[in-house]
Amino acid sequence: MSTIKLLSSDNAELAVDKEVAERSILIKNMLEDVGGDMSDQAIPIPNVNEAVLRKVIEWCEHHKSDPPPPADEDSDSRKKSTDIEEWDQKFMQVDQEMLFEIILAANYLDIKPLLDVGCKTVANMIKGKSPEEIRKTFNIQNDFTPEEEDQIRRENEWAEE
Amino acid sequence: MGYETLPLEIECKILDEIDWTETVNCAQVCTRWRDHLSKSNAHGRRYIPGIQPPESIHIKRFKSRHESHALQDFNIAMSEITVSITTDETEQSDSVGITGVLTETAIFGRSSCVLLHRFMDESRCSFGFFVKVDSSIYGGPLRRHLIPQGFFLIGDEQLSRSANSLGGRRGSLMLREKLSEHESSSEDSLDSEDEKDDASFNTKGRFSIQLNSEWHWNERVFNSPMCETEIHYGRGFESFKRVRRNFSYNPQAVNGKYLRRLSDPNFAGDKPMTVRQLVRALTKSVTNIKMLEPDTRERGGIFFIKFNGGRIELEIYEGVEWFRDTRIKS
Repeated sequence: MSTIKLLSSDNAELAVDKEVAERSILIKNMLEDVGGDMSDQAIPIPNVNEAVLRKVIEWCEHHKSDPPPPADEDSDSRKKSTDIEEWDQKFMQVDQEMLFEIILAANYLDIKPLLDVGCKTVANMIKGKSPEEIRKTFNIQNDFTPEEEDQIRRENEWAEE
Repeated sequence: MGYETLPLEIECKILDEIDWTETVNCAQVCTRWRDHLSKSNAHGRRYIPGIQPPESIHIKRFKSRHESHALQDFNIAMSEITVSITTDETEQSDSVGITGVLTETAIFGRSSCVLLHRFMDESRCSFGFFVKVDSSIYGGPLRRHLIPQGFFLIGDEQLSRSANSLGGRRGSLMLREKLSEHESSSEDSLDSEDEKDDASFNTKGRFSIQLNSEWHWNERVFNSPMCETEIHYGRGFESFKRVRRNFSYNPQAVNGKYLRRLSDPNFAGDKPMTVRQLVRALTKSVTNIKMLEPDTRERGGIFFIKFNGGRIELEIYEGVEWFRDTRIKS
């Protein structure tokens, strides 16, 4: 099994199985573009630091045998679920900063299943929280005008009651 | 690094992943979230696809009637209707049905009953009814003919003096029906089956909301700002129809396209419908109640009543004071 090297943004060189690295569509395409031979040269991953890259590789290693996600997944699916596999749940038990870094890395590296898991994890963090709690959790500014807030409150009275 | 560093596309993706039960709260977080959720399918996930539609005869009849008109985006579909139910009240069955509007005590002082409500007029008022639901129903065999035990009204003092529906004329909203008068009422003629069911009302009195003839439950019943779908019931609920909005909700557009689209020539225009008729039509078609996944809300579980031709979602609230003003000047 061939190995390639990835170069993180903080110049750490990480060796990883090609099969594992190819969970990233970005890397997979890159390898295809250069004819698959990157044994001598590390692939720069300028947006991802070593710690995050190690986490991403850990995820890719665990999921290296997973079937590829459907190419044209229905984005309007109404049956989406925030269910996350147990292993992934544990994997995502990281601090908020790392969670967002993983999401960004998955997005950059084009690892859709990891991005999905990350987004679902954040979605699960929202569950059961009040608007104020959500704002506090994610440091989101309340930019509603008092009139808008009043309107929202009235519109949603039934749900709050 | 925090949430604020996430690009908009990821923020949107996260919002697309949230459970629809969270959309109300999420839409109140900030304008960005509100705007995204208003355009997304998050609310649409309230409506469960893949369920067999009502009897095909209804679809055929509907299509044949409308296919040549501008109503082709009408769908007959299974729909969820949000109503609330409250359980675990202390038994207190007296005085129910004595006054024109039930008191809070009378409503909550019931055991093993649920309060169904969600018939709203711009979140300002609603009425509901009791249905006896106990644990044997959940997951149990099919149960039809849940009998309404009584009705109640949530509203303010002005409610009885205002139009009872957007675009509808003022109707006589909450009328107490005296049994003797009711029995002889030509408006509310009962078939033999109805007469049998009446027994369940006699001990508690009966109440009805008399709808004016133009309203006929054909507009914005069950509507809420978070629903992109409005539900239109025919008289007696022979059919379920779902309308997907193609344009924004405009409550002032009384005579606009939107309301016209909800009109149904099948209604008997000169006959009012009482709540009892409405509720009977609803509850008689109940086939089962299913508990969903363990609820994440602190205040209760979420149940579904599945109807013939539709679903009603029941949110169980435990001890929630959702009665603000139940009294209307008589």
